[in-house]
Amino acid sequence: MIGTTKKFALALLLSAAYAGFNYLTLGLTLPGSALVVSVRPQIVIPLLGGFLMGPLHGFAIGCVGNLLGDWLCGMGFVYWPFSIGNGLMGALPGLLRGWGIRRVDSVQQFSMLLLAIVAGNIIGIGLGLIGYNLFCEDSLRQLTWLFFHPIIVANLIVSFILIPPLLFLFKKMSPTFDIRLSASLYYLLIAVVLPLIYALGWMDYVAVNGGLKGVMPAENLRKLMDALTLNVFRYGGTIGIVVILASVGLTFLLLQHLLRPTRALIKAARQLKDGELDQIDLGPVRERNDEFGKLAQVFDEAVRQVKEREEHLKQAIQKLRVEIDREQAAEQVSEITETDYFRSLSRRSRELRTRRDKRGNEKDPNRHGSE
Amino acid sequence: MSETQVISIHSYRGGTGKSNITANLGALMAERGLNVGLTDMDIQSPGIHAMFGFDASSFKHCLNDYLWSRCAIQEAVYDLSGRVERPVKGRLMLLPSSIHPGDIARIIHDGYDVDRLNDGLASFAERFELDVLLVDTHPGLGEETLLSIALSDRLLVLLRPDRQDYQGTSVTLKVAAQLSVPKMSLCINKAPASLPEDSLRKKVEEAYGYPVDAVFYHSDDMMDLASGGIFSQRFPEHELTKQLAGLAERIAS
Repeated sequence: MIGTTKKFALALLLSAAYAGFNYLTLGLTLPGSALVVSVRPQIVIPLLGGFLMGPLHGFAIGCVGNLLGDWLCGMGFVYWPFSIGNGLMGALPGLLRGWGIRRVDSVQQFSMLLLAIVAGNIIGIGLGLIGYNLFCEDSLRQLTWLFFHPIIVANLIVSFILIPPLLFLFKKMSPTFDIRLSASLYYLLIAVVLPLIYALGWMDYVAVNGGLKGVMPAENLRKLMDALTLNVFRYGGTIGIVVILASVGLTFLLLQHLLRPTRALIKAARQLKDGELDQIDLGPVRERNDEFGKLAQVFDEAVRQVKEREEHLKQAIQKLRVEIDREQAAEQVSEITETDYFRSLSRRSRELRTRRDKRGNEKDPNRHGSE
Repeated sequence: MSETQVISIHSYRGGTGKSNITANLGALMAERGLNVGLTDMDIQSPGIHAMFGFDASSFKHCLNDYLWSRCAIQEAVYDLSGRVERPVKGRLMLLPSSIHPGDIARIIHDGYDVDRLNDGLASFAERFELDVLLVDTHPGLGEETLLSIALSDRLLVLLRPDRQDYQGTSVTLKVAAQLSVPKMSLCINKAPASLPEDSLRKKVEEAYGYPVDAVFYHSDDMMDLASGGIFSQRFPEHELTKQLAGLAERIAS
């Protein structure tokens, strides 16, 4: 844990970094998207800052960083509603702490983080646009269509790609079975969806540009191409994001399907270990037609046998009694010890032993005992 | 020369695997480098020689001949080191009893001189520098058995966990106590698999007041052991051999 002052300084530093990146990537727009869709990998700074340091710090990094960036870019503070929007984007992942989510060790936590990022973008940029709309002439509908939607798609795609490896780097994500399974599917889909969008855009470009070049005025053609590219990005991107989110949800469901019986079996094994044999209940798992069902049946059978063996053992121990008839034994002993032979033997036993010992200790090699 | 420890191995009833365990203990002690003598004091029904592949025609002289002054003790002693499957570091010598029915009848009828027997055992021990002299006794509490017990520094009583043996073992231990045997312990043999070792050991120790040195369970391996040959020599890595070795170490010390 780091101290409050250090945390504040770190938030300032991150704000500055966010501003700096905003300045540097100002012109980094998607080709043909009319400067609307900028690629802003730095968006992960407020998102992760909020997730790792809490909502207030997340808000500060997003808001201060954006104001500073606008100022650096020479735009002044005209777009201040967007700065508040950026702050909200940073704040939302931090709010997950309210549910105790501070790191990502399960698909559940991962999907919550993704949802917080989506919500942060929609709320943040949405509020930014509404605020900005108060001061400009464009209609809200137009703004939504032209800016809101493509900006969110671009932000989400970049965040989706960058967040997991960064979390892993900061040791805030563990490679659990959950995470591995979900990450494999997640990146597989990203690897399919992004090239697909690009290929669609490229095909449109070649077909339309090739077909209409020289037929219609160059200026009109350029506008048409921009609109086309933007639409391909918008629709393709939206579908892609929905598919990726769905994949995480699907992994979550799949894991539930696998983990529920596993947990039941673990519980049963623990009960077996603790000897709580009567409390073991694998009922629902037994009914399954898959390997879990088979395992549960075998487990139940094993428990039954252990029970049986324990019962046998209990009975055997109860029956185990070394029964000696003391009276009869005493009689039998006296029958032996009262004979003359025994009396003389008893008298002589000590002597017999010492006699042999003495002989054994004598070092006379000539004695062989055969005389 | 250190003193020879005389250890009698006894069971109240026959068929407890006494000769078998005695032969195995002897071989294991000799493997560890002790000089071991085995004496068949089961004059009425000798058996331990068979464990080492001897038969009626194998012996020129026996313990009987010595007792009747027909030979010196060393003439009735046979070296077993060539008859076991694994090399033994110490000596392993056998003093057998006669297997001939006439000899057995005569010794039962006429008896023998207790001093001469004692002298003979002492000479056996001295001549072969024995560390341990294991005495295989006759079941029950007949005169030779009482004598064997009276001569012993240690008595190991084998018993099977059943009512008849519990009673007989109790009598044996009381009688042995009156003969002032310095060390006495028990070995449970052919225990049924259903009885857990700890409870069995505890119950028997509580009932008799003597330690239980080993618990052997009734098993197919035990049957193999009873089928002849020295089990611990043939299966040196077997769990049962390890148990026998533990018992050998405990009683030889």
